[in-house]
Amino acid sequence: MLVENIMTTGITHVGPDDTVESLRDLLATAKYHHVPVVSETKLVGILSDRDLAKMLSPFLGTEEQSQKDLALLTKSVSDIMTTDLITVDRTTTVDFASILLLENSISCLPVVDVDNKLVGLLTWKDILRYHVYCEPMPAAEEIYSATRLGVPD
Amino acid sequence: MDTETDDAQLSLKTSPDKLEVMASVVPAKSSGKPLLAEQIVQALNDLGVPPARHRTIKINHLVASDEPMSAIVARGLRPVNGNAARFKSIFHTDNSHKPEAAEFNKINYFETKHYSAVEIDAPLMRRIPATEGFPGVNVLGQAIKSKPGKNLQFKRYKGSCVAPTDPDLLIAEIAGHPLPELQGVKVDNTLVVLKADLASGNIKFDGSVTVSGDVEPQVEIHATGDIFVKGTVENARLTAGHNIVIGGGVISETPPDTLAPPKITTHLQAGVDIHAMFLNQVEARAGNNISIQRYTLNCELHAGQQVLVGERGGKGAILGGRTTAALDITANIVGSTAYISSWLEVGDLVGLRASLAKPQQELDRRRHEAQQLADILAKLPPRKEQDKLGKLELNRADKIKAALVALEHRQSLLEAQCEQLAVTISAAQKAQIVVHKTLFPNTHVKINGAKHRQTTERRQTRFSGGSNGIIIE
Repeated sequence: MLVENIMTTGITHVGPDDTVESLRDLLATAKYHHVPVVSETKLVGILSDRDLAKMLSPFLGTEEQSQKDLALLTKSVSDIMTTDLITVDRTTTVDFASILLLENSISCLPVVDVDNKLVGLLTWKDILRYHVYCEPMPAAEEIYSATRLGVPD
Repeated sequence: MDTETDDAQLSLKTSPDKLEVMASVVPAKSSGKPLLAEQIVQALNDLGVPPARHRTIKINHLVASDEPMSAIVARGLRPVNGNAARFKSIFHTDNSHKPEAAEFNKINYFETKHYSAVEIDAPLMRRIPATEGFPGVNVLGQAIKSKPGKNLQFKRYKGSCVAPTDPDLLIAEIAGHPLPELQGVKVDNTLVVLKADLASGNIKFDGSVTVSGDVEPQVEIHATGDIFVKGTVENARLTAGHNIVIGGGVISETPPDTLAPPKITTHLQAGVDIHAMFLNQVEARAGNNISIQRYTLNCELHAGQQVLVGERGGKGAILGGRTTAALDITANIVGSTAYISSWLEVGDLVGLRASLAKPQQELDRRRHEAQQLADILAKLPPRKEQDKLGKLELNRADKIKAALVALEHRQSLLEAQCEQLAVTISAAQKAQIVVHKTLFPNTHVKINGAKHRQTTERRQTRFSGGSNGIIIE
């Protein structure tokens, strides 16, 4: 199975000059956890809601927020994005992509073309959905067979 | 060796790979001591170079020279690396024919393509094992190991297996139609139908299909292997992963109104070659070659390599339509006395180079991925707790290795594809159109972008050249 068959397309992305505040607002309502950063059609970075949570002050929006906390919101996305990217292309196999995710302890792979243009995003959830919902279901007796359950004979 | 300025001076330098010793000599001035061959030999001995590696002739040249001179005075033997394993198809069929070169060194592919079948256990392919090469020796007399050739193995394809008694022989596991691949042979199941018509319905088959009679209108046949039709094909669509071979002619729907404009309703698409007796208003696309015995009339033909129309005994006419090929178009006659417009195009280097870019880019990507996996494997810690999932033991290394093997397999396919395209691009620079008998006016020729319109009738003609203009001979 190739990545292009299961990746998510039509990805919302931000630009490197967008502010952290606009990114925070985007992620506050979004159902996804990763936002690629695209400059002139090329992928230049990626950010997750975890990255954002790590850099923002927990006092933001509370009475204890300081000017310093607020200043963080005016920073550019390029100041906090991950630029050391691990990517795949459309014709990468799902097996290979899965190994990349597991062995690099990441949860999302941007899918790019030969010009480094973003064409999609592959997350661990996409791969799980593929294995659970797309692969043929074994027969009931096989599911509960001793071998499959890891029970010694 | 004397360091006095008037005496001859000698310096020796061993190459980093220890395969050569270079001596540089500055001859003695008039009052100085000359250099003797024995001194060079002694210096070499001091370096540990055995006499067998000394080059006596060069040593003598050096001592005889009046000018400063450098020469290699000792030389080792470079190792000869081994060759990678090779694969040779060896299956035979009763009706196989050896192709013969016709005029202009063109091969008549039509003669070579016949339906073939093998029985169970028939030998299919022989593996010629990799060679070890020959070891070398450095100037110190130490052996240098040769790099053995890559020991490629048969790839597993449906219907074939390695012979139990000979690991270098591939045999048929089932009776069927053999399709050679780079490192193995696929033996297709074969579906035989008397006719392809309403009774048979459309045919979609994972294997090869033989139609003993005709293919009737509106039937579609899709086979992953070859399609053989012993009769004719009318108003149908045939798609084959390998070859399409049609004993009779191929025509489109006959319009009920004779004044109605002709319409192409028959389509042939083959991954490798297409062969037929004649084509009348047909679209045909072949990955490699299209060879037609008698004529093509108002057809759209596109061949990845050659279009050959006409063989001995066949009229061999291209009458109208558009015929394109990456390398050559060869016909006996092009056009007609009615000056029908015929468009012929060969070359298209731009298109070919663009088509090479895609597999090349994927190959680069797969190589990068293989490197990523190799890096992951190298960093993988020895098996311990982290290699467990609950009560189950995870075999991470084995899985990564399996993914690496899959990547290497894909790489070898892409490399073969790129090599094939590179050969085609090289050949396309010599693309030509050859008309053995008559070329009629109103024939439009395009070779690697250069255009020519024929306005007079000619006999035997060859068009070649390209972007700098077309050469007509």
